[in-house]
Amino acid sequence: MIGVILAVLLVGAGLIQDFIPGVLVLGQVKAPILLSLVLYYALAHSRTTLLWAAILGGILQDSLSLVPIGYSALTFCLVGLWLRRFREVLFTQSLATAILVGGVGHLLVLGLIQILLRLGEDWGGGSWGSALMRLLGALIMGMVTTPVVWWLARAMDERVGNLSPTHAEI
Amino acid sequence: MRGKGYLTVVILIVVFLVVLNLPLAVTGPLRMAARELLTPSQTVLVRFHQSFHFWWEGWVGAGQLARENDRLKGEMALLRGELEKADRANRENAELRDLLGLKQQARVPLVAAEVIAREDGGGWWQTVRINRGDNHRIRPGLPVIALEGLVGRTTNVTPNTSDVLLISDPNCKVGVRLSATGEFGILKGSGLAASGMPQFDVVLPAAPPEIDYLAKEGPVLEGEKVVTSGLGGVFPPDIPVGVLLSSKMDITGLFQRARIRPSVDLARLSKVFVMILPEETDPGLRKSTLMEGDAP
Repeated sequence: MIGVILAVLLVGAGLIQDFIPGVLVLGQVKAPILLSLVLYYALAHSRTTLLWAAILGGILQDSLSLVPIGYSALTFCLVGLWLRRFREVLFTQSLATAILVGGVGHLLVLGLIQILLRLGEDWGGGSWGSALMRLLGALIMGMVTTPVVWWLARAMDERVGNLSPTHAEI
Repeated sequence: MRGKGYLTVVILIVVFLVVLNLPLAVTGPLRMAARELLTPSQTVLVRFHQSFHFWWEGWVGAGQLARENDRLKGEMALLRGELEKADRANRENAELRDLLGLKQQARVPLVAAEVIAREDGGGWWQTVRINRGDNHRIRPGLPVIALEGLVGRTTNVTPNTSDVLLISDPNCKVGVRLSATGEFGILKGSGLAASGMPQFDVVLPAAPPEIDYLAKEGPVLEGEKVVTSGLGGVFPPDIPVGVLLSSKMDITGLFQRARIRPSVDLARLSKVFVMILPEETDPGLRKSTLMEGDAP
């Protein structure tokens, strides 16, 4: 059942993320719905599920953009595994955690992808100013999006019995 | 447990070393499959959003709509008269062309499409995705227009979707001509999509596209209309591109630069048309096509 819910959430997240336009004043950064989902799986499920979510979510995100396939999957995995290290010390049910993790996670992912794009010469445009604006946008969009996605994902997991409401880790 | 963790990391590194270097023949179908999977739902979502938007506009601005309806009726009557004049002029033009033995310009077929997604997640490129593709005779490198003027050109094409690189993208270069003075130049996007929304302009001035290589002594008039020149082989001539805002001499002193306001509000595109140019006229297009792995 975890796999089915994961697939449904990934397709839904990809659809909505692709539909909602980026915010112009935040460097046209989009709401990181797929990443928020990966961050949720990093804290709420096993490492294997996290890696599945990160790889499939990353490939889906790259498929829907001009970014070479693999960049998002790689960064999702790295950030997801890094976040998992703090699983025991985070108050995973707290709104503040979702905001903090979402902001920092998206900042890291966008920064890493930007570095990969520069290194791979896949993208040569843009000034330092626009890069900084994009990072600020990533932080804000991550902070706004993640709590909503976590709440929805947790509600679905609880409904189908993937997480028990009383023993939910997140 | 620790050994298992290392194993995961090692497997991950190996997988990504493979994935990041996969050739286009492998990543192409992967990308296509993901896009095709989402296209039907995206089209439904866009149509639902548009219906809701129309309903909301009707609900909120019923009085304004009635006034606008009146104004449009008047405008339509005027335009009918203009159309008749234009018909006469066309007939006369055709007769004169016949007399001079000139060939008639063929009309370019258009494919109407809806915008189903906008740009990538990081704002690195200025693109939109439309719900028409290979199955609708679209191929990479074709010009895309809206009712008001030029939008961009198609890039990645799957059976039912195409990416459109907007003229606001720094990688989209268009040969243009100033309509009044006849000066030629090359239009280049400046990054952010220009929006007609003044409240955004206050917070962050949207960078307007820029024309380079205008002759240094050439007359450049503010408010002048800018159209495609037809040079370069990608865009046909005389498609409206925008209005000239300001100009200045380049730092080298060799040519002038000018900023324009695009005719089309690129931030609010919903319906566009792809010009299906005959294949034999665009040998250079495929070279300029964005493919994965090329710098877009």
